[in-house]
Amino acid sequence: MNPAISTQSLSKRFGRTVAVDGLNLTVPEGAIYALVGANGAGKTTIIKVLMNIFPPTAGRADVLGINSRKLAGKAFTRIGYVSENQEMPDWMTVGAMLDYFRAFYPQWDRTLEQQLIRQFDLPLKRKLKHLSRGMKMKAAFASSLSYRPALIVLDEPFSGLDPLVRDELIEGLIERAPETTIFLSSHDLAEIETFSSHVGYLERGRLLFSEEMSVLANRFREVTVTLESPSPLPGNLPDSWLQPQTADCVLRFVHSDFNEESSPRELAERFPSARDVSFDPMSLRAIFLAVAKSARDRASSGQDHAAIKENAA
Amino acid sequence: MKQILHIFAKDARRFWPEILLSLAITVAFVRLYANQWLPLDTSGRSQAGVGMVQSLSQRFAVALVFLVPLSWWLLISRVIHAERLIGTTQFWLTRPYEWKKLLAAKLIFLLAFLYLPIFIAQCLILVAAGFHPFLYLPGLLYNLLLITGYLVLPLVALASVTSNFARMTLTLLGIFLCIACIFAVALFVGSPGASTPNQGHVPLILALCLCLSVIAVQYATRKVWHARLLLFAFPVLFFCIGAVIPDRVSIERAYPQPANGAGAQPQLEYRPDPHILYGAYSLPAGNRMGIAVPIQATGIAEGDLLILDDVRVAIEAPGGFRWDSAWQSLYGNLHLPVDKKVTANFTMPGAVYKKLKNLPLRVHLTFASTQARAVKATTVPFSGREVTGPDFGICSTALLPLGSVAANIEFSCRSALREAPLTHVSVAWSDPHCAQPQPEPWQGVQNIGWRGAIESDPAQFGISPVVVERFSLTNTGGYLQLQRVPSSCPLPAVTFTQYKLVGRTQTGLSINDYHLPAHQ
Repeated sequence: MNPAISTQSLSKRFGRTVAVDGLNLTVPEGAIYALVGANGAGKTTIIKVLMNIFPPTAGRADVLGINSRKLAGKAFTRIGYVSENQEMPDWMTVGAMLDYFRAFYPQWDRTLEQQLIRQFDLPLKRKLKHLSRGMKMKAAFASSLSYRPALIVLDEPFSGLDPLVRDELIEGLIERAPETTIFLSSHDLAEIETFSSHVGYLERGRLLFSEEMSVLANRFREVTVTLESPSPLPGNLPDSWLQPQTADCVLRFVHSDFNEESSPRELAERFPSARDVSFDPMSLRAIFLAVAKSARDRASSGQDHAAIKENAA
Repeated sequence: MKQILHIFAKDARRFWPEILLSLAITVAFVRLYANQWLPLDTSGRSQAGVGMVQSLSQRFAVALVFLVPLSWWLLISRVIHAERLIGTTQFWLTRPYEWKKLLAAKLIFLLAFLYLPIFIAQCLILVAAGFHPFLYLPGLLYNLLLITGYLVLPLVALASVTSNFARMTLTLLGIFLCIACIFAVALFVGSPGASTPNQGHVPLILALCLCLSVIAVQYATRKVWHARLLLFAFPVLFFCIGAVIPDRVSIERAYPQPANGAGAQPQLEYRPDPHILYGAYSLPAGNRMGIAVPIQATGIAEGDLLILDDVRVAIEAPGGFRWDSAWQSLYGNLHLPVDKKVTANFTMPGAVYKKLKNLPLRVHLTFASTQARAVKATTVPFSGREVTGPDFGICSTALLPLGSVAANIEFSCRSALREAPLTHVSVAWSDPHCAQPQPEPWQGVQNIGWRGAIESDPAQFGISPVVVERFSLTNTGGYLQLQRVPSSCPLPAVTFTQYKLVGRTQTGLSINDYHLPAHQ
């Protein structure tokens, strides 16, 4: 099965700023892929490169089998794109906008359009410029889902929306999920966790991980080791142990490579005198925070090392 | 095609106020521009309401000539910026728009709401001016091509590399400011440039190619800096090349030296008139002095004409000092039919003038000259109504008495789409059949005027398809010695003699022992 989106060593620079750095990403067909990351991580840039709004500086991206640089015209009849900061034809009414877009898509499904209008309770006669942000986003969703696109790309679609609108939009998306691939960027980890099948974590333009949600959930565990007596943080901890810290007799860390069989054995060998070891599943938010903090710690310690080397030199 | 029409319909629905404004201005332009060639009111009522209304309406019509392109500016900006090509957040970037169809939709919009109205407007103005539009169809189409190359496409190109009307306006103002500065500097620096003959279609082709390239690059790739570079760098480059290449190159090419064995050429002679004081005069720009040299041509065949376009001066002074000028325009050109005397003016730096003013000089003037030949002469009686000169256009005329003895015939002439071909207009005032006795000396005064251009395209660039020119021929004789026109005499006849280009060459005139005139 061909991936819906794939990138090879994709980079994008703006002057001296590296927004995306050697990205290798694969979004399988039929997936609901959530790209998460802090502000400025490069999520929007990646989406704009995928949509051929920006040209890549290096590497390449393929969207539905088409080189992103050649993505234009008819290719967009199979792609639905909604962005939080996308300009809409504000002077049109919702009905006029749907009428206008309808003519561009041979496969436009009027029944689905009517269904979405009802589902989102869209006021057809009101101009877009007079709609609330949530309503405007619903209108954008309706105009991007009505032609049953093979790929839906959403850039921060839920940002700044109230929970009711978010739920309505997510519901609308989930209904489309069986027939499409959804690629979205978001900060809203709680919502993403409820419906995403895949997740990728972006940090300063680099993809730190990208995998199925279930695999990720199985891979990360919050580990608590209760020792017999207080002891300092042991040295030479594995790289997969994130954010290790001790307090009295308790050692806590996030295991980023947890295996139900080998991990308990490994811990038992490392801490033979441990009174108790617990492995707690983590929420996506907790995983996200652990990975983000760990990456920043590593980056700052790397900078410190570099500074020490420079001083020594 | 469906997508093209769909985008077009969307734009037409959205921009109806701008379309309406543009159409209203065009309608007003058609309605009022016909006043431009109304005959002058010579009845003395011009101070009263009717004359004032006529004058105001004529001024407003002139304003409309500028308002029409201004309305296009707004229309072009709005329609191009509706799917602006700069930015990353426009809705249409991720919709199935095809750039060729988008561009085609915009062009159809301009065809429908800019070209069609102005074409109809121009036809109506031609009809109002007494010209049949179908006879001038090639000229009308050529005029639209000129409007496209020099106005519409530059505006479309500018709109395609800017993000909104305000930025486009600022850019345009910046361009105008740069051009004004360049002209101001050129004027201040002083030395008048040469007037070279029509460059043919080269500027139009360059403008069309440049604008189309910018538009195509921007629509196809949205690489805005490439398009901006193309739009601004190439004109600057052409300007720099034009500034670096001296006038000499283009003049030498346009006016070749007479070939050996060529037939008899007209000769120029230095013929000062003892009754006239030829003085040197100061020019405000660049501390230069203007010098007038009286000349007369001989050897011009009957019916031929020598036109002096530019002059180059070489002055040798005792002691080996030599000053050479660049080619300078003889503003307005000097027309020399048989035995006509004219004054050729050139300028020189004030410092050189001071150094040479009291010395006996050897002066060599080289003229870039054009030879023309009369091809058609038509005499029409002056009846106080409109007269039509063949190929010249239609003139409304009025006899305007100047005191008791003098009179002017005021001409308000209009030609279709371009300046008339070079025409010699003459009026013979004497009338042998006049009932009243004519006082001596009454030899009849023939007053003449040169109008039109020796060469021209099927149309000249302009919003209006009618070129209006006013001039007057008086019955005053040479040096303002008035001749009488008995009021009961029939009105004189007007003769239009049309000239055609024969060739261009350089003609020399050497003057020995010349003294620069004293400063006036």
